[in-house]
Amino acid sequence: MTEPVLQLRALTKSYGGLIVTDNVDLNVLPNEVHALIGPNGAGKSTLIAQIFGEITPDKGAVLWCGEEITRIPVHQRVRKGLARSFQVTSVLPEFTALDNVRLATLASASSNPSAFEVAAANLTATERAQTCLERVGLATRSNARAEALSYGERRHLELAMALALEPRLMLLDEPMAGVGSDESHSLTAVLRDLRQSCAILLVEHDMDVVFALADRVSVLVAGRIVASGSPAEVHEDHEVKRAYFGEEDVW
Amino acid sequence: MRHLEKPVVLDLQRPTNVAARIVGGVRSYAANALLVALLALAPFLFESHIVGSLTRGMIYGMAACAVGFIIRCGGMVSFGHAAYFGLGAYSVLIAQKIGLTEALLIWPIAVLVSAAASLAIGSLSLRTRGVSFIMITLGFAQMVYFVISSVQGLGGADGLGLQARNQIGGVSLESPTRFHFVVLALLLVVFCVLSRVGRSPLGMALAGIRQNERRLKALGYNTTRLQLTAFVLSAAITGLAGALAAEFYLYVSPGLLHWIVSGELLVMATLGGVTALMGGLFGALVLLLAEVLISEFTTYWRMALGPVVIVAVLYLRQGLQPALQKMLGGGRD
Ligand SMILES: Nc1ncnc2c1ncn2[C@@H]1O[C@H](COP(=O)(O)OP(=O)(O)OP(=O)(O)O)[C@@H](O)[C@H]1O
Ligand SMILES: [Mg+2]
Repeated sequence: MTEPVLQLRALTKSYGGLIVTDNVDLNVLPNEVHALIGPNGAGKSTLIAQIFGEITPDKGAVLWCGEEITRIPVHQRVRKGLARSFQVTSVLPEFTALDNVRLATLASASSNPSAFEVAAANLTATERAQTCLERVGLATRSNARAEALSYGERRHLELAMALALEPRLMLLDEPMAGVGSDESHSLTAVLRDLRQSCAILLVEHDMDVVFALADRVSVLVAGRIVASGSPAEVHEDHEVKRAYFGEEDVW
Repeated sequence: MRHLEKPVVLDLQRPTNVAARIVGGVRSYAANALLVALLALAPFLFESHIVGSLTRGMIYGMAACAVGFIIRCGGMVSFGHAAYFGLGAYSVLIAQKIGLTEALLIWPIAVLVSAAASLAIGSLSLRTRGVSFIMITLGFAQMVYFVISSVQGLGGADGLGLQARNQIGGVSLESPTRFHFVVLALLLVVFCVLSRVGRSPLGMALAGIRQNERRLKALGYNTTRLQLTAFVLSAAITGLAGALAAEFYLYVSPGLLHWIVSGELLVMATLGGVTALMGGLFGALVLLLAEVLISEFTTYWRMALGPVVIVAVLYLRQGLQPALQKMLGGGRD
C-alpha cells in the first residue's frame, strides 16, 4: 500500500461555539486528485488553511508522509512540498506575471534569498518561471503587470505560482471560482496537466470539474466528513443526497 | 484572447543596444543625476552656510532614504528611527569620551550599535503589523530617549559637545568642504547598497511582502525574518547618518532621539516619494530649503510644513522624486 502524502487525524477546530472542523479524518495519496466538496460555509477553506499552517487546529494531527507537522510554520511546510492557491485571487499586483512566478522559483531555489545577486540575472529561476507560465498558457503575458491581467488570467497565474514551487501536494481552493465557461475549460485542462506532477486536494463547487478530474471525493457538511469514495459512489450516497444535495437536484 | 497576442520575448533575451540603454538609463535617472551633480558642485558654487545646509540635508536624507526603504521593501512604517539616529550620534560621543578619534573605527561602531539595537527592537516589534507596528516602534524609541536623557555622564537632558570632528584615516575633517564630500561619498555608497539589495531576490521578496504578505508566506518565505533583515539594514544606515549628524553639529543631545525626528524622517521619505530609491534625499533637501527660505520671514517656519506636506501628498501622490523624474522625461526607477 502506498503511504499517503497527507493524513488528517481527528482534526478539530471551533470558533467560539461554532465547530468549523469536526473530527476530520482524511488522506491524500501520491498522484491522486482528491476532491473536497460541500455547501457554502461547510468549513472547506478553514480546513485547507489548517493543513497549510495558516490556522492552528484545536485538536488532532496533520501528518506529512507519516511525519507530524501540525504546528510547524507555513514556510517550512512549503519547503516540504506543500503549495496552495487561494479562493480569492492572491497575486502580487505590481509585479509582472513573470516576476510573480519568479518569486516562487527563487524561493524554491534557496531558503535564504540572496541580498546581493541581481534577481533578474538568475537565468535558471527565470527559465523555470517561463516554463511554468507556458504550462498554464500564460507565456505571451509574461511581461504584463498582474493587475493588468484579466480575472481568468490571474487565476491561471496563481496556478503557475503553485506549480513553480514543484510541490508534492497542491491544495487548490476553488481554482475556478468566478471564471466564465471558456476560462473554466482552459483551467480544467491546466489541472489535468498539473495532476501529472503532483497530488491535488481540490476544493471545487463545479461538479462537472470534480467528476472529470477526481479519483476520490469527500463531502464536508458543517465541518464533518459525511461521505467519501469514488465520484460515482459519492453521487449515489443517500446520506449525501439528503444532507448536501437536498431533495431537488442542484446540479 | 490570450493566445492571439504576439509572444513577448523575455527582456533578458532581447538583443541589447548598449548606446540606447545608456541614454535610456541617464534619462530615467536624470533627476537623481542632476541632484548628485548639484551636491558635488555645491562647495564651488555656494557660500559656506548654504553648503552646510546641504551637508545637513544629505545627512538627514540618508536616514530618510533608509526609512523609505523599509516602507518600499517590507511594508514597514517605522515611527522609531530617531532611536537609531540618536544611538549613532551617542556612539560618537561615547567613543570620543574613551579617547577614540578615528572615524574609520568610530563610524562602524555607531553602525553596529544601531544595528544591534534594531535587531532587539525589530524582532519584538515584528510580532505586530500595521498600526500596532508603528506604535510599538515609537514606544521603544521613546524608551531609548528617556533612558539616555537620564544618564548624567552623557549630559543628561542637555547633551554634550564633541571636542572636535574625528579624523578619517588620519586626515582631518575640520574643513567643511572635505566633510561635505565625505558625506556625499557615503551617501552614494548607501544608494549603491540599497539599489543592489532592492534588485536582489531579497529585495523582490520584500517588495512582495508589501503588496501581499500572505502570498509571500505561501511561496515559502519566512516573511518576518526577511523584514527583520531589512529593518536592521535600515537602522544601520540611520545609525551612520546619526554619527555624521554628531560630527556635523559637534554636539549630541537627546533632541536627536526625540520622536519628532522620527516624524520628520517619515515626512521627508513620503514627501520625496517612498517608491524612489533617492526619494528621502529629495524630501530632506526640500524641507531644509523650505526652512531656510521661510525662516527669513518668520521663526514659525514649521507652520508651513503642514501645508507643504498636504499639497505634496495631494498633488504629487508618489512624491517629489517621481514627479521630477517625469518632468525630465524619464521613466520610474
Ligand atoms: N475567523 C473566523 N471566526 C469565526 N468564524 C469563522 C472564521 N472563519 C470562518 N468562520 C466560519 O466558519 C465557517 C466555515 O467557513 P469556510 O470559509 O471554511 O467555509 P467554506 O466551506 O470554505 O465556504 P465557501 O464555499 O463559501 O468558501 C463559516 O460559517 C464561517 O463563517
Ligand atoms: Mg471557501
